[in-house]
Amino acid sequence: MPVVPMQKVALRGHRQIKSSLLNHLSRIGILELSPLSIGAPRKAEEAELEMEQAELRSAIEFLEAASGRKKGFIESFAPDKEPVTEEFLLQSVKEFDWKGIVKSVRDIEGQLPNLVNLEARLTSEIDHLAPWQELGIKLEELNCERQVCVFPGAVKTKDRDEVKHKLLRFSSFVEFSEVSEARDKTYFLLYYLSAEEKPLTDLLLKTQVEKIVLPAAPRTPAREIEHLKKLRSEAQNEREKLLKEAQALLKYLPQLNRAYDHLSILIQLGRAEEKIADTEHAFWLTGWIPKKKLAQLKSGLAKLSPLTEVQPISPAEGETPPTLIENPPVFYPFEIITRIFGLPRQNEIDPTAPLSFFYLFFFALCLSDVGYGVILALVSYYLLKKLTLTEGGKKIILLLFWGGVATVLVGILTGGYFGLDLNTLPPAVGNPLKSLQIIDPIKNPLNVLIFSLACGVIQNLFGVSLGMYWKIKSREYVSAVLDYGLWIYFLSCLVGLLVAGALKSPAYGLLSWLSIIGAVLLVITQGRSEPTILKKAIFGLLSLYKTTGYLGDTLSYSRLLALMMTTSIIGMVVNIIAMLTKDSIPILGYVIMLLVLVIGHAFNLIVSVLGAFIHAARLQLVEFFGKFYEGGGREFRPLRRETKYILIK
Amino acid sequence: MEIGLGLAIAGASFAAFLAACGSAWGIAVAAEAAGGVLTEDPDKFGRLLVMIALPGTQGFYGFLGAFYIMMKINLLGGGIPVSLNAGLQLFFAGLPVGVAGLVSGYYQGRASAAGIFLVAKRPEETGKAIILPAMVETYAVLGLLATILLVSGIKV
Repeated sequence: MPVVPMQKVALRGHRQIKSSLLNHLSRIGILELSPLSIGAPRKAEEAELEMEQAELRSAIEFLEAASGRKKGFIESFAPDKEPVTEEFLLQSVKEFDWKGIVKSVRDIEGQLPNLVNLEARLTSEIDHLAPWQELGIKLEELNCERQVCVFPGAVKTKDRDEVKHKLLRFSSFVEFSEVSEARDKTYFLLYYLSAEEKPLTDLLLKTQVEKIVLPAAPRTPAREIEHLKKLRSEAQNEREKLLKEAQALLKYLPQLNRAYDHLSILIQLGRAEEKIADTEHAFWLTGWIPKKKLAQLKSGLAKLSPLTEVQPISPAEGETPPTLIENPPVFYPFEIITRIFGLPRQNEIDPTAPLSFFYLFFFALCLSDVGYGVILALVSYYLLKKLTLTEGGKKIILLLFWGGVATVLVGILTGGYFGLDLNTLPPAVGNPLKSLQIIDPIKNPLNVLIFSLACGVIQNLFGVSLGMYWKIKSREYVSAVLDYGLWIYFLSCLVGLLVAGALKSPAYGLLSWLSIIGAVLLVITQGRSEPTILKKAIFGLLSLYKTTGYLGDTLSYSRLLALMMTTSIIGMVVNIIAMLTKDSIPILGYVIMLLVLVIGHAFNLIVSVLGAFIHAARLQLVEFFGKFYEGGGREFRPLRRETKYILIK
Repeated sequence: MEIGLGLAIAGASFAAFLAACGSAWGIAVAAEAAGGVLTEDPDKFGRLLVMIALPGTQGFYGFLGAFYIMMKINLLGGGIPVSLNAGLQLFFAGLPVGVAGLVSGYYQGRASAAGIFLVAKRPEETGKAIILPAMVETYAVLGLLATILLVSGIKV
């Protein structure tokens, strides 16, 4: 349960072997380099590497988008990585001209927006010309160059007659000729004498007429539209051609991914180099390593070169070691619950193992259906076998697998089988299942509620006990007895009092005296760190208020009942709806029934698993951790090869 | 007799539709936030979907409460006579899950939206972002519990 003890070390060596040493360290991944104020300055090549990597990333992202492949739901949590060996990686990067591919991708990427813009512009020009399609005049002739002006305009159809009337009354040399009508607008040409332009323009300004500017092309509008459409289809073809080229480049995606990760590794090594101090012939670095790995580091370095030396040193004042938690395989998946809250500090307990049993049990209680448990376990087992997972992804899926297994066991006891009523099953199947069932949550919600609260009491007391155990281990005996032991005593008395009250047991009187003694002791001791007598008394008295906190924490476990019922009742409702559809239409009804059953139960399973996962976690993080755990440790980040697309074997 | 049955049905329908409205509201708030984040990074869809779905449970709780009342009066099996008193009791028993679902659904949506922004900037902290809205849900769960216990205590 304690976190892995850490040792600070200093490492010296000859400069000759610096890069091979860094390579070695990144491969074994057990040493975290500490930053040095006198580390080597950043190198220019590194900025260049980062530039190249950024270009690679944008090329990869472009190709991924062009492929049109959607990432699956699971993949977005746990991306699938390609397993490669180191030799293969180097070989693949060396033999492959990724810079060339990146350049072609960038060319395509650069041309696409222009083409898209061009297409959009042409489309809007075509739309603009569309109302004039019927006009038999060349567009360049719509001007004021001779004695007669031609003015293309538009007016709202409802204002048309009024405007027309006004214009015609203005002068007998005005002609109003309608061209077309579209989307409640009338498009027209206005002919007038150029000598009358000024007063006519003034008149037009007062009306709702809108002047339309048309391109001065040497073609009629219909021809011009044809011309623009041709240009547009050329642009479309060009764009499709580029997309096809991009599709053709897709096959290089794995190589690009490998090159990307190759560069990431180089960049990480470069950053590590900044944490190393150089002299003329030697280099020097410090870092943290798990104590038990020190021997491995030493022997590895001895094999690498005789020109190195490792020495344990004591950390500087105020320097806190990073945290590494390690658990046996059984508890390992539950580390994600601990991580959600934050890692323990070096002198704290690792809560992973203590929470694991409760987590699993509560998860199973929330789901409590044999059918759902089986499906969950099978699906997670399949994913575990099929996907190459990162550590986090593996933990989640392992957790779900164990959750499924536990759900089967709990489901047998609560009699949950896809929300079926056991009484409706054939007796040969239903009776043995019924004999295994010890409680029916839907018929006896009160009993399940009491059971849920009892779980809360047990876990809360367990949490306080863990706090006490840890105080004793760190030799803080006074705090262990007064801050933890006394509360365990007092809370147990209160629980006993409740039980005795409910059972009308004769122990009630004795327990109430024991509780009063506990309360008095708490009032006396809890304010002991305060400076004055008055403050001691006040804080002692106020400490009793913590009891309501414990009460609230316990009531919070009632969610177990609510979630259990949600799963089983929604399952039941799915079955009821399916039965209703069965008889609705002959033959087809059975198909619909099957669909309702499959989709309904799949839906209920997903929603319930999400609820079980979250609420079981919450009970650990808020109610359980609150009793003994603070967290806030800094994660141990050894120098290693962190990659996005590949896993180096 | 008739009024009693009507009141019981009113209780069931209040439980279902108030909580469903809360969920719809909360999911909309969360989905709006997620839409913004997705414009920047569509790959986060899977993670964000979980965050969007979180305020959806209130609707189920409300439905559950309604279903519990329906079972109590055996509505799906033809119905039993419900006295005016019992109907009134069932009506009030339906309210906790409905009203708590309505209000908590909206606020859980806001907490989810906050979590969605957290995931946008620090995707590795998805776990924490999921726990924040779950804090709000506690009170919808309590509302559901109150309804279930009240309904199971009522004598029809």
